[in-house]
Amino acid sequence: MPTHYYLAISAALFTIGVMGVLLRRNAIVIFMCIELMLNAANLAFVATARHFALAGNIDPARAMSGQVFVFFVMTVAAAEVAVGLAIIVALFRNRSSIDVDDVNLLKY
Amino acid sequence: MADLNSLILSILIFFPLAGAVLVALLPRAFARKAAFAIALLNLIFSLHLLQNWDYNANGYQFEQMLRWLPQFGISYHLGIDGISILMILLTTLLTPIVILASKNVGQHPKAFFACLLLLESTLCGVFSALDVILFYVFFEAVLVPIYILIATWGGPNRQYAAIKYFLYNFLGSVLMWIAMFYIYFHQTNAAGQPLPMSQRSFDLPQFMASAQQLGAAPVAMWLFAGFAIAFAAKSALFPLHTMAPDAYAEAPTAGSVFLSAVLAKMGTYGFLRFVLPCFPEASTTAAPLMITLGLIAVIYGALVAVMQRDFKRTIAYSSISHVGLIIAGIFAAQLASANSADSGLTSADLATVALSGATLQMFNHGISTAALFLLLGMLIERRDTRLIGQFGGLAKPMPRFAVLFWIALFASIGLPGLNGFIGEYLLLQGLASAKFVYAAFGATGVILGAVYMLKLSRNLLFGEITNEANRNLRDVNGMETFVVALLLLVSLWIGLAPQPFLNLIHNDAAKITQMAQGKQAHSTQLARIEK
Amino acid sequence: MLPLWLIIALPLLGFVVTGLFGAKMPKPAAGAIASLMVGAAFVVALLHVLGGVPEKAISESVYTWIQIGNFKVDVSLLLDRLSAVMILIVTGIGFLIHVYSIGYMAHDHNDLEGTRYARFFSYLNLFIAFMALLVLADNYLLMFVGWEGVGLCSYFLIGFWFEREDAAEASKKAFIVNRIGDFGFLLGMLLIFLAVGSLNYQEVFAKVGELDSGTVGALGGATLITLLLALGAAGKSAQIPLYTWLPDAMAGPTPVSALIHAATMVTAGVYMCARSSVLFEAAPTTKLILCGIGAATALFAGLTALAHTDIKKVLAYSTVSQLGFMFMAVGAGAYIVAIFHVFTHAFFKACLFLGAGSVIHALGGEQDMRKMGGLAARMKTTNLTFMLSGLALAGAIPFAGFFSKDEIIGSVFAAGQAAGTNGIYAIFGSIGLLTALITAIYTGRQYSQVFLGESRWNATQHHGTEASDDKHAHHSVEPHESPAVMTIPLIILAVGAVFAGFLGFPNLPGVPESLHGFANFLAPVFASEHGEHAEHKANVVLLLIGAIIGWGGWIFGRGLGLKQAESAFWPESMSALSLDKVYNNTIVKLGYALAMAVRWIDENIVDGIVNGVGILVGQSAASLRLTQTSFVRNYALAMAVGGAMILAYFLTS
Repeated sequence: MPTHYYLAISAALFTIGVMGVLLRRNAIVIFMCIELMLNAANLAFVATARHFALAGNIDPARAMSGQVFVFFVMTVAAAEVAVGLAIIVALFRNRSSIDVDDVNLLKY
Repeated sequence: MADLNSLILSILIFFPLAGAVLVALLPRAFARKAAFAIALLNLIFSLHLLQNWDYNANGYQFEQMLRWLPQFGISYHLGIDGISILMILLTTLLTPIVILASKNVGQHPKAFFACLLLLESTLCGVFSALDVILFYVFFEAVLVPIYILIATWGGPNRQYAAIKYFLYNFLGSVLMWIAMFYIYFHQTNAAGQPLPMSQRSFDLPQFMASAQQLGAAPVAMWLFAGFAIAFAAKSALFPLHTMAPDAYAEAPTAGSVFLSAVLAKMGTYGFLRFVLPCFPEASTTAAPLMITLGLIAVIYGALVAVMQRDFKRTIAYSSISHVGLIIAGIFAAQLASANSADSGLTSADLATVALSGATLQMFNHGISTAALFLLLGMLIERRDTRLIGQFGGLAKPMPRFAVLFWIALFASIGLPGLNGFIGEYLLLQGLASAKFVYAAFGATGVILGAVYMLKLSRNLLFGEITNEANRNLRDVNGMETFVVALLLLVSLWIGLAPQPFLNLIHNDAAKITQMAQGKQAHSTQLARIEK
Repeated sequence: MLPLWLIIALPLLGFVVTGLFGAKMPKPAAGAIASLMVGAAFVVALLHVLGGVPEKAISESVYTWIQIGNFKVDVSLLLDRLSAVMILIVTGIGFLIHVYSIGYMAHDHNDLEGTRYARFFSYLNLFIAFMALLVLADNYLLMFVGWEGVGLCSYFLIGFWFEREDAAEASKKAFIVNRIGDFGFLLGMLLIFLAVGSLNYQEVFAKVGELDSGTVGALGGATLITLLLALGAAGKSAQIPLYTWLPDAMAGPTPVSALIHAATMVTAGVYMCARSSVLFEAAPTTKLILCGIGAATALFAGLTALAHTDIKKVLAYSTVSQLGFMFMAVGAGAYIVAIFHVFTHAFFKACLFLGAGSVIHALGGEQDMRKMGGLAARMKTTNLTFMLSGLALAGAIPFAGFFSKDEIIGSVFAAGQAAGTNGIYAIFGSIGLLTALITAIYTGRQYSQVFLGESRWNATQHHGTEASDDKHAHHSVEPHESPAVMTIPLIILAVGAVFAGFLGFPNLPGVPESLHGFANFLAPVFASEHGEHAEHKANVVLLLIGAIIGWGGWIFGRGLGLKQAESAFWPESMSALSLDKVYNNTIVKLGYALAMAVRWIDENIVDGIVNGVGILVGQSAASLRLTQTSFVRNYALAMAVGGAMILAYFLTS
């Protein structure tokens, strides 16, 4: 399959993620949308890595770096989940809500 | 001792810095004693400078040069000459005195003394840095401890005063920062080609040379302005002076002493060290303006001082007045001209007189104003007020205080035989050689100084005791007498025999004159050839 | 030969000793030490004068004071005949007044803490040291040290009873007014240095022509310089327009008035002019102005003296008036005569002040002459000495004042003839004659009001509190002669007042050389310029007029004093003539108004701009902060839009 198919899906996923973050108010959903954006990036990484590897005009070892980056992203995502969920739990305990509009301390 | 000679300045900077950390770690009860011991040791270290001073040296002494950020031409370059040694000695002398005098600090004594030591460290850095970036770092670093000192241990309006002082100086320095970088990025070689990055440098000699190449170009005026505003704000030159009365008055005694005695001199020092040598032509062009501002400060400061109700503000305005005269004198050196060939004096001689006077007066004013602030601090400690109206007739319950206060007061208003006179006279002589009318205005400070100081003396010390709280005030004790008397002895020493101090200064004052006036002569010569 | 600096160092040592340890000594000890030091200084000076000065000046370099390249000022001393006369007056009369003070200050009721007695003597000693420095300095800058130093001591001594409001104000005023004069002196020095490159007398005088060259010359040269110096002299010597501090200075203890405000310090201005005679000779305009100022001051102060009933105030105005005579002499170029009058005046005026002090002492602090009278029988020595020195002040022949004052008036007329501006100098000379008459009247009047007639002090049992300067509040007013320690100095001074004049006997035919020894003694100092003054022939007519004026005025005044013992000659409101009120209403008020205005500008405009900038920043921040909604989504949207814009930029470029 041509690479731009993958990239199109990646872009679509990313846009959905951005829209979700901007439009939803539920913290968990926002959180999931962030994951969606990360995975969109992962998809783009893997797709381009494959693209360059198949094209053969680049050192295969360097082409692999795109795939390696995915692992980094996944690690970061895992860490983020741990921290983020903890924040959401703490938030829920304080406010009995996970609606982000209820947390409007970030001003003045 | 060669090694020690190149290390001594670093010791003077880092020893109190380490001391500040140590004081912060020690138990509270030892804070003052430990801080005093450290400051005293530093004073003793600084005497090494005097002992090994080379009076015939042509250039900086006790130099130390370490690579810092070589790719940007930034180095850790220290060294002093006759202009800076007095300032360093003033700093190291005042620190232990101020620590001794700060007996009742109130809250957080450890932080207080750590701040004082930090201040000493950064001030030593300012006066010994020979790299422009290094100078800038210290110049700004000074703001940190002084900000904390004012904002934490100051008077009722301390927050306002501290922020005002900080912002004033910080904004001024930003302009200097821009000017510094302009010069850095426009460094050229002898042929006028831009230098590659690797050869540019912030090291003072090279920096100075490249600044001088700008000559009288319009941009030189802007760069001059950038530096001049930074230094004028620091030394509270009219009209950039209004942070001074607030800061000097609100700061705790120790802070007031440092602010007016040393921090204000960072500005005048900057004029001598950077502005005159870097921008000789621009300095000459701007000299009438700067002298006028200085003279306005002399008269204006004195007039406002007359009308103050708060005695610390009186002294603050008197500082503005005195420092105005110093700045006027510094720029008068640019305009000094001999009366006629037969007077036996060249223009350079007269310019050197003005600059020597300015340098000496920086030290002198530091001594006398420190003594005044210390003494007034003792009054505040006893009565917890700064209002002159609360006092009167103190000469009766506090005769020793009165004597000390009188000596400090007369030193401050330039009574011959005490230190203020020597500096003032030399400055006025310099002003007179630029233009007689300058000296005439400058000398009105002689009259006005007497007016506000004697008014203060009359309202504090003379008259009947009108406020019962003053009737049984405790006279100054042994320690209080000692710290002030020490300063007053220095004042008497300079008044009677200033020669040892002038010997330190003279060579380098002459050198600045040469740089400032020599370059000028050179460039006017060039201009003539071009025509 | 003993070094010259001992003359300064000895009283200075006295100052240190009495200042640091005096409080712990028994009272007379501090006074004795102080007196001893001044006495010793006198002896040193006398040895010098007897030993070497008649032949040549002694100069002595002590150390280099200030040297910056070619700028050099030494601490070095010069004893020539001029400074010899002055130093003998200063230390000699100073010694007598020190001795007198031992007795006078012994019962100071303000001295509750018991330390002021010693402090008084330490100030006096410091004064003598500074005065000696002033006189012996061999350059202007060093003279200036002494010049301001004596002003400092004067400040402390006027304000000696610092709890009293009048003393506190008077001391402040004296110093500030003097500083106005010093401002002139200072500027004069700056110009001299600029023109000549030195402040040393010899070097300056040698290059006096330089003063009119270059930029200094363009400014006014010697004329401007001497006018500035004259301003300094007018401040120190209490001349119009700066005399107002001297009458107020009487708030100090009486020995201080005698020493500082009559005999020595106030004559420093005259000394300075005489010292700078070479400069003044180069500036005829200044001389004319100086002569006019002297004449105006003499007349004005003389008239004011008639309006006062305070025994010390009369003497104070009389001092101002006599200083005016000295300035007339300087203005006439008769420097020797001016110094001669300084010399005679020192004796009789010190004696008058000390006599007044003795009276005040005896009356328990009373200073109002309307409440005196009839003291002659009670205080024989004081009476006699006061009368003799009063006659000297009145210029009655053959007392000291007659010779010196007559010489002055004569030389003013002579100067007119010499300068070819006869008219104006003749006016000054006539004013001098008129003032001499007034002087004789108020002096005679004062004498009789205090010592003769009926005693009016019985009625005043007020323990010397109100309006009294010296609070020696004895509990019953029973006038008595003062102790010997006070009367002996009086006697010595009175002897001087009687005989000092013979040193300057008029140069009449048949009078032997030795009788005008004073002029001959000083002639070498001024020789280069105007030796002719020593040769100047006395004017017999003038002498006769002077003799008539002196005695006539005295006798007339004496009668007046008896007739109107309960009032002043003029109504007291005449003293409203004093420039004091004019100054208070104009310069002082204006100055304070200006200072207030500047303070207002400082607080509201200069600082207002600073605070305004701060407020501006604060307010714009306040409106900008409304964009911070706190909704995370808004922030995220802003981020997304920003990212999109950056992306768009790169995609389109």
